[in-house]
Amino acid sequence: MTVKKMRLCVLGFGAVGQGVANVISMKHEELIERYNLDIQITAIADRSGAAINPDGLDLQLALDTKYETGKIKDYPEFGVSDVDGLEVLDMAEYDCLVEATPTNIDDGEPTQSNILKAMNDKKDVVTSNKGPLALNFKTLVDAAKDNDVKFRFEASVGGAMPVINTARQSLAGNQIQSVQGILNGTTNYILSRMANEGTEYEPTLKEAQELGIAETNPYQDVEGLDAACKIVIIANSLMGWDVSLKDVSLHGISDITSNAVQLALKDGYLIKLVAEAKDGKLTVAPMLVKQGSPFAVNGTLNVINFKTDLSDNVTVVGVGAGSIETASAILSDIISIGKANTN
Amino acid sequence: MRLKLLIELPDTPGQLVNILQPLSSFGANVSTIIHEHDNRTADGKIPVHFTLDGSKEILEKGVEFIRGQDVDIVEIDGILQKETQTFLLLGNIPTADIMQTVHKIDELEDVKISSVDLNIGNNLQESVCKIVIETSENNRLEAINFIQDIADNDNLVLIKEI
Ligand SMILES: NC(=O)c1ccc[n+]([C@@H]2O[C@H](COP(=O)([O-])OP(=O)(O)OC[C@H]3O[C@@H](n4cnc5c(N)ncnc54)[C@H](OP(=O)(O)O)[C@@H]3O)[C@@H](O)[C@H]2O)c1
Repeated sequence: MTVKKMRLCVLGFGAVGQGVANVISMKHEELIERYNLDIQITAIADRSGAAINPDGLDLQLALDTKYETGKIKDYPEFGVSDVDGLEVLDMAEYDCLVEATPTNIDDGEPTQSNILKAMNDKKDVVTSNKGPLALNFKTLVDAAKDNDVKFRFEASVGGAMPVINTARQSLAGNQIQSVQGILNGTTNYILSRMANEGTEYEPTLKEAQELGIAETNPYQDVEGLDAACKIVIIANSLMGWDVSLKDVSLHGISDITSNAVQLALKDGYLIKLVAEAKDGKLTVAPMLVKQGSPFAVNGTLNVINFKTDLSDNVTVVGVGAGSIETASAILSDIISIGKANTN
Repeated sequence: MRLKLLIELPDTPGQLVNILQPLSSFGANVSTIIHEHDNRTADGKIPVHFTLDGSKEILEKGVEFIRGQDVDIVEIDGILQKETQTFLLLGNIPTADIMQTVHKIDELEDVKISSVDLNIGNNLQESVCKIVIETSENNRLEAINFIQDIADNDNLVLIKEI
């Protein structure tokens, strides 16, 4: 069988973008052997500009350059400055866009425009970015359909925990009646520490920030917006709902006190930030889960439970974030597109 | 005829015998008794499964007798007779106010409060209250919606069971 070349354009070269460069450089030979896919990255962009080489970038050199100067435009010979995502998409020769710029939940930009341009240019798209999916799911899916290109977003929902692919492939033929899950690692870490150590919310959040688990601006995580985006994407893509972020009834964890956590523990309950799509409603709120139940996952772990018509309850537990972990989900999407395009 | 029952008994000696002896004296045949020691309820009771054999009249009399002993029958032939729900109410309000809210919940029809546990913060301004309610299976959702309304009206955060 002939080896098929697949060229990627990576927009965003932070934790996720660099993770993608890492796993592709790590797995390059293995992917050729196992899937006949010769995956190359021909363009990488960050805020400084881009590195673009139609013959494929040296990924180690790209990672080293980013590490040393913080700017991908400093990539030797092929670095360019003062270009935005749309311009990079015009300049690069690629088959599949990997969009990993920061999440914007106000208008989904610039990600949404980047994705739509790639689709209109007949390129496949993989993204880890929740913003545009939670705001305008249908627009993006319709654009993919109209242009007859593939659009995958496993990493936007569960990081390395397979959510979309579990439901679409392993549970194919099932109807998903409801979904409940712990979809945010930061809040799960904070609530787990509060239960295990008896600490208050504020110092626990601070500790999580010092450990790099919570972001400097933790607002989207602790107020439940991150989990809300994910449950919206799940309801749209797996349950056939037509919803967006504004349809979620939302309550975060910042008013959960140590007293409340301890009182719940007395009866064997844990407080967890649960996202659910159930009975036609989308909710993100702190809920009580029984210790020892499938939802009682500790630390930064995520968990999701699908209630289905044929398989009853199916639960998946996994790591919801991290550079390599998220890149693994992106890689699985890239491989499935590559395989589909060779058939 | 045969009935499978699931009841909840306090964890003190003699509780089961107090139920089973009278049942046999009615002529009911009691078999396969299983205690779920690992699965205690919020108020520390132990679920007990057993099977009753006998005529229709004897079984009816048996069930009536058990209810008369103030014992909770959870399931009859796999059908739930009552459902318990635990939830927390929290807010930055004095204890007296949160008890007002509990009182409103207690007044709901078809909701029985089976335990209330109050935890008062250091500054006496932050209260957390854990409530366990019993409802029959078919009005569980309705009851929770009413309780949500009460909590919203009183500006309290309601944390429900998943
Ligand atoms: N981190 C995770 O574990 C994880 C898990 C699942 C999903 N995600 C999602 O994946 C996406 C990327 O996350 P991340 O953690 O990699 O974020 P990050 O570390 O903040 O990296 C973002 C990257 O995007 C670049 N960028 C910002 N604006 C840009 C623009 N207009 N054009 C081109 N590049 C731009 C940044 O450039 P500079 O380097 O120059 O600042 C940076 O390289 C986000 O949408 C996030 O929600 C992340």
